[in-house]
Amino acid sequence: MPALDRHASTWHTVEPTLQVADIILVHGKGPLNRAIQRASKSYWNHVALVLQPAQPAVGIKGAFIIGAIDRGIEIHRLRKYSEHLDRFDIGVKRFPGLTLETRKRIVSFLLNELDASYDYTRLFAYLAATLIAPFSPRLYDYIRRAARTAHPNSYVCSTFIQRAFFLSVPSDRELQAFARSGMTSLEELEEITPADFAHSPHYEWIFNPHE
Amino acid sequence: MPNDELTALEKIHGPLPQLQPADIVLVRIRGSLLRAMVRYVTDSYWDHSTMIIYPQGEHGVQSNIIIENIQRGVLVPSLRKGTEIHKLDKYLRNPRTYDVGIKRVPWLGRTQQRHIRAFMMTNIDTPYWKLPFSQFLLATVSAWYRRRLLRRQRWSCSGLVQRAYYESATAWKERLKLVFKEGDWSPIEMQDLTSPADIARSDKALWVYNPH
Repeated sequence: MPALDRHASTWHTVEPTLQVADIILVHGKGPLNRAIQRASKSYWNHVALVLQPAQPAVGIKGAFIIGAIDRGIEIHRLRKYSEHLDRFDIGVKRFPGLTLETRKRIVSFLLNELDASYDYTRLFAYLAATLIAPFSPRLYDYIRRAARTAHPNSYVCSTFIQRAFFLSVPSDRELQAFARSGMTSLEELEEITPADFAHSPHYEWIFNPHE
Repeated sequence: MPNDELTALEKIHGPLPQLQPADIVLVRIRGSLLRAMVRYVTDSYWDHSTMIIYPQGEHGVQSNIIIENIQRGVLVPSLRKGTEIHKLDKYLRNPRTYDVGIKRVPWLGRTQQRHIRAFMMTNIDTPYWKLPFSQFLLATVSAWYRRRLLRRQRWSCSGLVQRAYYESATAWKERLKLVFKEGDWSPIEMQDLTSPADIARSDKALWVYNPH
């Protein structure tokens, strides 16, 4: 069996086990995707959350995901990626020990942020800052800080997911919910990247581990 | 509700009632020639339909959430994305561009509302069936062509709403109580050809907000 078919076959056994708030990591092959992967030194360039798993009892075969993409916070079918494994690769991570109550709070947060806009300024500032970093660490630091507060009511994919977890888990698990260790404030949360979710030991791999 | 918490449209028509899943939202989109032609050709105040999927309060949501199949951008096919989920607020905040009316099938139970919602959810990302500008232009000037167009034009937005209702009926005898289009149509014709005007005119769904 070719590698791609084998991968797809494994995925089809994982998809029915997905839970609300599982993290979907996406590896794309377009130029912007590759730029994000290079800048963050990661295999992954995008993250989204499972909003609703498959519900065969009511005829819903696949899962739905929510994330910051294109125009902002949007809901799509997971098949947008999973049916095109020749163009995308996907991985799944999970924050362990989420109670039903916490998952409900996460879903509320996700739905209430629907239609919030995508922060392209932050994305391109991040990419530009990464190019500048070797030559001017001070300028890198300035751009980074300026970009993270430029558009307070908008998101890039990973900051949306990070905020959902941080604001929904019980207070004694807030530090664990940070995908990047050593973070202490909500403002730092605005710099989280898909790579941080991939690297974080606080989120366990369910499918297709890659750093 | 304090007046300053109302959206701009609610300040004109009054506050929205408590909405339910599967309530049908009819929309008038101003400032678009194509939409104006749709209203003229279908002889209706409305030109678009959507559906409440999560009413305010359910799942802790603070706004009513709708699902709709809509065309964005005529020239760039990649922008015509199809079925999407949004906040109803997008239509309530700008009364110069949008007007909104809401209808409800009054006898629907919770189970059937859930089936309708599930059906709509399965159609997220379904592509939009484009409204042909030139054909609508022709239909505005020719009554013969208008009748021909209305017998053949597929409506993605209201067709999806009609299909969700039709498919939700567990007993076949209930299906006819959920058909919004007048006339004797085959199930496929009826589901494809139901326009926002058919839903607005239908007595199977009752007005709960801003009747037209």
